[in-house]
Amino acid sequence: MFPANRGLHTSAKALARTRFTKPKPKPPKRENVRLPTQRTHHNNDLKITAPIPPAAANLSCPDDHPLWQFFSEKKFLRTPEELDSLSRSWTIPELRRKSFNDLHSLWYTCLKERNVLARENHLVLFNFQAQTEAYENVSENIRTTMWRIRHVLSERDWAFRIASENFAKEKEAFISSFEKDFLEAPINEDEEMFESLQRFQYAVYGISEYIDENKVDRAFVDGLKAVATLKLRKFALRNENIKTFLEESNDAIVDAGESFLLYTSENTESAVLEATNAVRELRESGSSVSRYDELETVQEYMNKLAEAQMAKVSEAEIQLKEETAKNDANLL
Amino acid sequence: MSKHLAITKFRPAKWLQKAGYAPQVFLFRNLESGQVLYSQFPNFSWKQIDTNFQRPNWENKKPGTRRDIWKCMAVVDLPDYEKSVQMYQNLCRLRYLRDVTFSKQAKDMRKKNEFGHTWYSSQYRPTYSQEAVADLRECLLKLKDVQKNIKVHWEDEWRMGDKEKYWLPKLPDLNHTTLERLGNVSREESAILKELGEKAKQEFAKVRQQESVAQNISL
Repeated sequence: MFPANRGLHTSAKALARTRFTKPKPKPPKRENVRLPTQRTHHNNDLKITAPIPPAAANLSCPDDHPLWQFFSEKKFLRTPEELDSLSRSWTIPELRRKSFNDLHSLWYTCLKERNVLARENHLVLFNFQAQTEAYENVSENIRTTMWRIRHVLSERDWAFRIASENFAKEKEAFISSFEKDFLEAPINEDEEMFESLQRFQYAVYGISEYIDENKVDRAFVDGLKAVATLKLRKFALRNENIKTFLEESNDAIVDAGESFLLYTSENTESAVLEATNAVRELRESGSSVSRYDELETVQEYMNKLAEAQMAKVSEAEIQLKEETAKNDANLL
Repeated sequence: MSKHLAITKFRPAKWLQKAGYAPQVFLFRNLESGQVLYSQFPNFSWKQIDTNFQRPNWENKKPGTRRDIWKCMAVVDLPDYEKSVQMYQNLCRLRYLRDVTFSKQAKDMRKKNEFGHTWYSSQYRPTYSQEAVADLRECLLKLKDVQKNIKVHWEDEWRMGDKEKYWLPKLPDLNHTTLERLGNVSREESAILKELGEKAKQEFAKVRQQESVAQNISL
């Protein structure tokens, strides 16, 4: 029933060899062993050293740095002796003689100098706890100049306002007297008269001879019409065709497109005649500018005119270049 | 799982390369206290703060992780990832030496105020960032042999200290540049660091390619 070699429950332990065991064979050497992922270590000869303070000598500041404007000749601080303490402020009569641009630049010179002084004043007061009277006196002198500049400008402004108010009363009379002079002048004074017409249109209607300076508004368009009419009347005295045209149009040009055409024509009899013929064609074809679209239409015309002038200028430049190139070639 | 998204472990060289980081070490400066933090990444977490400030006291408080008052003080481009890791370890070790092992000596070298405390104005102690510059120099001295291939981007030339005295005599070939100042505000900083990292990675790839080409040349 039982196998013959069966032992007791202790026999296996008793038979187990506990000493002089035959050692296990070594495992075979493994190929392709992965190294540890972290193999670096800090150095063991590290030393702590003295702190390295920052050095301002490494920095360089450009000469045109905008903040230099707060320094006088790149000095950190002027001594009270270096300040211009003997000078005085500008007087009002002196300033009255200066143009607007002069006053404008003087204002900003003063402002910059006051900034410099304010910086120095602050430094002396809070960092050195010293007397700041010298800086304050100079600053006060400059402040006086500055309010005087404002005073002179306000005088001019008031003068201009009062003059324009008075002129509004005398405008009609002035215009009619100018028209009289303009129309009665003989042919040999034409050039001078048209120059004075330019000044007149700028003074009364604000029409500048430079196209891009103009702003198209109601006064501008009205001015165009008035100037066109005046031009026609001037040449109507000399030419029958122009006279009949003027009579056809009831002695006044009321259409903005027509007035623009006449205004831009040259100041000679033939050119004005040509313009009147063009206006006639326009009338025959029935195209006119409505009073409601006048401003936009005139603005468009002005833009086109400016473009045409630019094109002319660039063409002239190209021609000039070609000519100089030709001359150079000839010289060579 | 950590609720923080930032990396909170030390990372070995292989990992950094695989994860797309550049071989760089970053120094961040606390604008409020002047303390400096070392990091392997262009960002940091509480983990770096824990490793860098092991003995906080009233003079050297453990700073917070507010990102707006930490600003990048310097970035070091190294020739390979092993060196970057070792540099980080060296920096951390030096910090440990200063704070723990040689705290007395470190304190002796600091500027003191009238009461014998580390000089300060309000919360700010300028000595910490100056010590960080000194430690950075010490670590770079250990990599003297490869100094030609190392580039340090400073936040400001002012910060690096006297060139003639500290840098030129012992590390004449080390490259120094300045981080771009325009637009380097706390919101845009990460973008600037990312761009620097991209450049460093390109440089690393270029050098590896040159090396492989050099190896393949048969004479």
